[in-house]
Amino acid sequence: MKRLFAVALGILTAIGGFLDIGDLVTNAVVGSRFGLSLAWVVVVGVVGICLFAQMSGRVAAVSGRATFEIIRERLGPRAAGANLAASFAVNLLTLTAEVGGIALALQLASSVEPRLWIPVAAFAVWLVIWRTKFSVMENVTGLVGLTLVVFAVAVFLLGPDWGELAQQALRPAAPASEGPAVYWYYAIALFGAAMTPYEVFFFSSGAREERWTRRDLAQSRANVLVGFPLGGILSVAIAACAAIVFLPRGVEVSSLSQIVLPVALAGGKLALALVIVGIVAATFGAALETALSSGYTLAQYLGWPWGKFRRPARAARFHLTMIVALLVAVAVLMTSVDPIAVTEFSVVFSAVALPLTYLPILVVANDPEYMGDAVNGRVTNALALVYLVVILAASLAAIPLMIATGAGS
Amino acid sequence: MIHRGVRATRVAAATVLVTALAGCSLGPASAPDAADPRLVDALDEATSAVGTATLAADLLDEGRLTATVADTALLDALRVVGEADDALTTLVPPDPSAAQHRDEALRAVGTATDAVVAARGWANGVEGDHAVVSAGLDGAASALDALTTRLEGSS
Amino acid sequence: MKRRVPLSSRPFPADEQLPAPPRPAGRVLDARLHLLDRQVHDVDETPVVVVDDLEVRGTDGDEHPTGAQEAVVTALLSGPVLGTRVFGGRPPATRWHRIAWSDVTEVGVVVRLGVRGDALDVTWTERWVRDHVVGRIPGGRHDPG
Repeated sequence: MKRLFAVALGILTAIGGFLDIGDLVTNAVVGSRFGLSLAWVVVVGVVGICLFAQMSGRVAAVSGRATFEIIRERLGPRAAGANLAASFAVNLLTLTAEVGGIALALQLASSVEPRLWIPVAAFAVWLVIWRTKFSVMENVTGLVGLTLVVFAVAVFLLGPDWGELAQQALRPAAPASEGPAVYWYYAIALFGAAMTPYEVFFFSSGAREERWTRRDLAQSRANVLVGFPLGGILSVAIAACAAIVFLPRGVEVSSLSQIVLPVALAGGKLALALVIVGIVAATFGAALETALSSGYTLAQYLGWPWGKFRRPARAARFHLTMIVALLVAVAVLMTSVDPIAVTEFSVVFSAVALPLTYLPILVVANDPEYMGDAVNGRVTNALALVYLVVILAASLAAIPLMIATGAGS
Repeated sequence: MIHRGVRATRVAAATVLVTALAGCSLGPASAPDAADPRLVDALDEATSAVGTATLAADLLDEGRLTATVADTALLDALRVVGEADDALTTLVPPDPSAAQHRDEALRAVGTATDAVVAARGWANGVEGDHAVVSAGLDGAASALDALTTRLEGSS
Repeated sequence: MKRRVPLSSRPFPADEQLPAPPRPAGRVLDARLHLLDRQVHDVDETPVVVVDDLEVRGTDGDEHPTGAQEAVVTALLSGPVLGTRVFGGRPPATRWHRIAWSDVTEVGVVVRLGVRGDALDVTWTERWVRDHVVGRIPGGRHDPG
């Protein structure tokens, strides 16, 4: 019975923790402009993140080492340093977007403007990292984030024309009002939002935090292979809500307040309250994960003691890194930059940085010196190589498309 | 060995340059006799803002939305319609007929701004009622729609 | 493209026995494979640094040995040498943060020391941040959760 509870907890946490501000905004924008014609990208992204998250968890559980330690040993300081620089920069951008997302969601709950919430949100994120146990932090934000399932419920309550939705989803082509360049730009953005680079580092370092062994691998596999696809369904539900309500009215989503309107239309104030709580939890959880990832990557590259299992005085530089990262995020947000714009940039740059973050994991997962007999099987490697090609294509096309389409306008 | 390294670097630089320039070549096509796409873009933005405001006002009236969320949604819609207005005011039309189109667009966007401001005033309990606000928003929406159709059809 | 060298003009017989490689007593380590970029743990299994570079001296006391003479590793280096390792160059010897080779007890997946990390020069930034930043924030010296 206890086993069943642990399994259920793990899966539910994975579902609730899947969405972050990038998924929320990108899926809503895409739904309002393209309907469900980009839903296939979510499927591709979810399969990819399952593949690589599972690989990185296995690496950490079997080798007993965290990702960046192995990357530097295997690939040398230069390649690992380039990887670190790219990952850290994108991570910082994502952290800024997430903290901004918390502030926007809190604005919906109160009437206080986001700029006043930003320092509060960042302080709360820091406080949780400072004092809360890792597993408690993960479980609470994951479970509360489950309320975002109200998006899926809203799709049913809105009573859409299922045939039309299915037709949009199964005909992956740009609608008449948008050109192919914008279509592929948003495809890349959606891909970057689904395959968040920090997930790999967070997953493997988290495995070390919770002291996973091979026996925990089966549990992690269940969490990833069941939890992430269900989280992906929620992503498509967000796009579907926007497609049902906004596409016919010619409304383009550009703010968080628009994203919750379809849920209010479907379920009234109760659904609205649930979705706001869910957004706060999801963005808060993602802010915790990105802040921790910035600490993990730098500490593991430079060999510092790290981990939430250590008291802060014993992992001083690790904690200082996270404090500085949060301060930078607050500083950027206090310039009154639109957090939605930051989010849209962060997902595109995530897509650009993907090859640098995923290729080393693939190399390490195939190395028998660290993995023993738990190296990648042939199917995993074949799938991973296909994804590497997709990731490289997306990464190379992202910046030219961003320039050509004026960041999707 | 050194020659191979230099050559590889040159090939890589050329590839990056070509990829970046390829992006530039995919820019929007501009036929000389089409309605200015920036005009249509601004009108689309204003239509989007009015649509959001209408939805928020209706939901608030039905009691499905809290006043806070409605106010935030209307504030964001005001920002969008303000951006549309900025885009139009900074536009320099190339000829008199384009200038006339721009003026009509400015008027339509001005109507939209007034309607959304009135809606926000009602949502904050200052003045007006839902019927008046709704009529204002519908009027702005039809004006924008008519103008957009006319501009797109004139190309 | 090299042209195939005909059998008759090859400088060695095809069935020549190659000499056996030398097998000295003790363990053979490859510096780049086993030492560089390896995590260093102290005697309590706490991470200390990653080995960024090695200090090598000639057995005749030469500070800049070339490849032609016998040399020994005298210290593991970390810190500012990472920059010069990645970009090239060499900071002056007085600026190196050393872990003496005599402190190393085991070279395996990680390099293990026989001393506590707190006592070493290389960890001075950790001690500084602990004493002046993290230690001053309330709750910094307590266990989490």
